[in-house]
Amino acid sequence: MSRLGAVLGFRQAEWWQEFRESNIGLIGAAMTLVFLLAALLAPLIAPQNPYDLKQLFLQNSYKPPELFQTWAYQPFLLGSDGQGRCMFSAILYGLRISLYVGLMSTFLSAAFGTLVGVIAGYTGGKTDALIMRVADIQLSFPAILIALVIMAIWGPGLFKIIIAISVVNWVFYARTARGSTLSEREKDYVDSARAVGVSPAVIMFREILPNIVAPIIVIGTVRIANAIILEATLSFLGLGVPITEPSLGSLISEGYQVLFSGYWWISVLPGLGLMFIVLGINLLGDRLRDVLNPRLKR
Amino acid sequence: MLGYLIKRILQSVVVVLCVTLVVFLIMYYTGDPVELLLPPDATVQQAEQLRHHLGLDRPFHAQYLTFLRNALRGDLGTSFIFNQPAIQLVVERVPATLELALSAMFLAVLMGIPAGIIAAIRPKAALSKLILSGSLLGISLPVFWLGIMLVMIFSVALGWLPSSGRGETVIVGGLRLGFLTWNGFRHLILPAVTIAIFQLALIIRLVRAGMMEVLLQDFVKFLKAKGLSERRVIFIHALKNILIPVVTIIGLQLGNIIAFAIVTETIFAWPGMGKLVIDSIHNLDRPVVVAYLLIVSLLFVFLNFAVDLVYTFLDPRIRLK
Amino acid sequence: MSRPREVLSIRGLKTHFFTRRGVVKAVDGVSFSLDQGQILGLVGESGAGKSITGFSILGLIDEPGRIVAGQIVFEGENLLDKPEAEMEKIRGNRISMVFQDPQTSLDPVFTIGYQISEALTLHQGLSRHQAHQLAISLLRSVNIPSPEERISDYPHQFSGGMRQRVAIAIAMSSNPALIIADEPSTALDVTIQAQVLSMMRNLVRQKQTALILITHDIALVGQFCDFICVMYAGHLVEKGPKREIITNPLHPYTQGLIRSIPGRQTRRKRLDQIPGMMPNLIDMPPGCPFAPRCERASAVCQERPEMEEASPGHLVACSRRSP
Repeated sequence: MSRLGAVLGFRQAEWWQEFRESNIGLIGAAMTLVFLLAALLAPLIAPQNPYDLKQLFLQNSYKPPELFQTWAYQPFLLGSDGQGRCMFSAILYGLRISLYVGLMSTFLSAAFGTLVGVIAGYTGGKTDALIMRVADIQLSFPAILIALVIMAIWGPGLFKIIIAISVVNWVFYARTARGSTLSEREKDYVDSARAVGVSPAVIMFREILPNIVAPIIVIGTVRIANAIILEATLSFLGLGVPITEPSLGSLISEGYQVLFSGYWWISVLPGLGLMFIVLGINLLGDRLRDVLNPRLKR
Repeated sequence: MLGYLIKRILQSVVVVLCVTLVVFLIMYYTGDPVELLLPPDATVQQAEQLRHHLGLDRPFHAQYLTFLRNALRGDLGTSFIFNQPAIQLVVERVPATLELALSAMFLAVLMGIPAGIIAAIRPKAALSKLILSGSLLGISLPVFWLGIMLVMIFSVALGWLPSSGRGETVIVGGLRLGFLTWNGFRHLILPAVTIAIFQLALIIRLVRAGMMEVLLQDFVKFLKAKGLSERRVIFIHALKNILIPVVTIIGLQLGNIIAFAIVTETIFAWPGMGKLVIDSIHNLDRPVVVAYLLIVSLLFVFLNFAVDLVYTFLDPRIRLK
Repeated sequence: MSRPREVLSIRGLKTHFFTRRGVVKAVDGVSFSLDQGQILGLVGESGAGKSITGFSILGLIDEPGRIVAGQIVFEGENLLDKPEAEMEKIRGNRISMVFQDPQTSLDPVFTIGYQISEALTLHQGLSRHQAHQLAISLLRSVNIPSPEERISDYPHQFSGGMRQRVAIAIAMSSNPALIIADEPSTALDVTIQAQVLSMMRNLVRQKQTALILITHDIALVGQFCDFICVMYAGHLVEKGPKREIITNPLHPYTQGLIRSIPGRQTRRKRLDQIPGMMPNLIDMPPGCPFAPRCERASAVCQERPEMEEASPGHLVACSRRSP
């Protein structure tokens, strides 16, 4: 009955079998995993700590990538930026921040959105109408604008941008959760739970919630890539994370300023990193969606 | 049908009012204009005087109503930086942003719909796989980074296309347009393509998914059983069926493009609304930011309304209820 | 009296689906034939392969399916040899099909008039005006009230029964030699069912069209058909004239089907059912497909029985049949 068990029970689950068939999905999963690990282990594997001011010397600034000259794993493998920071290290740490913001905001907005959506769907009536009204109004405005306004007022900050992105994204989860709740609500097991006298709160969390996880995951895989790009864009505009802890977007912004002086590696390389992580997530998400989508099964 | 229209118009008005309230709230709670206007050595009394003179000591709803009244008259304050009416500054730049947005969307639709159809009807062909991979890449590329890359390749390295500004413009019917001059057109290419790539990828995926779903439906088999050629089934029947959601998304994406133009205009120094608002945010030019928010919100509400209208019109199931 | 023309002759048709999990032998050796003006009932449980047989005739088998063997001789020509372009000329023209679910078989974004005229202009080269007029008279012939107004309506504005009648009108519009009706009344109310079917029968008799009625309801074929073919798990197990099959069924499966008709029960309290379910069509064991459920099965049933003539025109594939 509960698909959550099937979704999390790896090997036997049919979706895993089907997922394994596509090379693309596996490549996506592998890419995402690699980048995730790289970000997690950044302090251990980066040749330099780019936040440690003591390690930065201006005479090292604007060095082009040394990748093909020396094969040693040392700072300035991919060049350095205007402050003498090793690009490779900066990218690793930047990746860390980008992923952190992306994951945290996705988690927050998914949790909040699903909660609200299930309540709206299950309770119905005025509560439902009100919540959906608010969601509809918010949806009629582009995400970037809302996030921009929030950050413009609040100022840059790691915590702030996570909140801003969460505020933008909760509606998608809420709408999906509500839709699924509406169809689950009519099913027999909910009826029987109600007949036995189980309280609504318990019904919502113990019975309905596990069964709507699949579409939430589907939405999540779309939104997380979105969240990462949104953070990068805002940081690029100077309205995201503070410049003391640069994310990939901030690095690209820095590089853009000096683009015409010929220091291409400062904007191109972080961008490549950003592109690959998003690509990996999209490949993974695409394949997951195909596998979990009931409408494509005949 | 008419009843529905009226209902939608009323809804839109309510949304616009909500937005004005939110914008006003932002204005009210952020920063004290008195502090910005007075020299640092002003006395408390002078501050109080100025406050009273500006009407800042009146109750909240009174200030809001004044704000609303002024807005309806078209008075949204004067820019601190440019010393011109804020609303004029924003409205002047609307044609530039729209030119960019519409060109990008046009490109995306022109190439996206055929590509999506191809990818849907021959899923195993090499071309389809290429299109699909391309679309995946397209939605993974951050728009601003793509812009930078294109500038690097086509402006810096190859020197083929200009990298900033709008070039020559001509005034047609009261609007300042750029694409009608060769110079203006050249300036339009890079920024429009930058935006178009993401939209193109989106449309390809949308059309492909929609097409694949439609082609699995029963009525398609029935159409074939009637002896209709595959071409007719796809390009007349299936296409019309997916047109409805596709047109809806295109309309909504137009709003997104206009918002995202903030980034693209920054990179390409394109003199549109987006660049203006970013500069104004960094320069703390509040009246301009407020004017931008209001005008852009009006634009979105109108766009949503138009999309709803088109949707209702296209789908006979809704039109004739 | 001249013998009626043979319209369709299917010999040894096999349609298999090559799926990820194995080969599904949806149709595995089906043969029957049909003359003009005759109604043949193709009956069996869901999944027995009846619809696939119908689609195979029209060449509408999609990936991962393929017709792997057999002949489908229509008006003297083997359809399986024909290229797609020629098949398009036959579909909706010489052979028409009526689908099961009227909810989903019409394009929701085009008017009924458009969908009828489309076939007419395509196959009969009529002008738009002519097609429009013909469409109106077609609607009238299937008892749709006020056809001149209804013709510009959309499918969702019609009831299920009316939609099915529209589908029948489309099918009959080109005066086809053969109509394949796939469960035409299953999705309809019981009261409408009889209406739709007798209307079809009248039209068929009038125009001397051949009709294949695909259904799971043996009572229905008993009422409306001239000939009956019983299918099970992709195989044809019995076929013959209606009267013969109904009064003297020889295959245990057919006997079970007839026994389970409500109203034909002997004095019992409980409804007689055939125990068990149809097997999964992948990995079918060799031998008679019905053996696992058959009360008369024995060792000889390990080998697949051939169709043998028990009496003139009445064939059955059972090694343990009562003589």
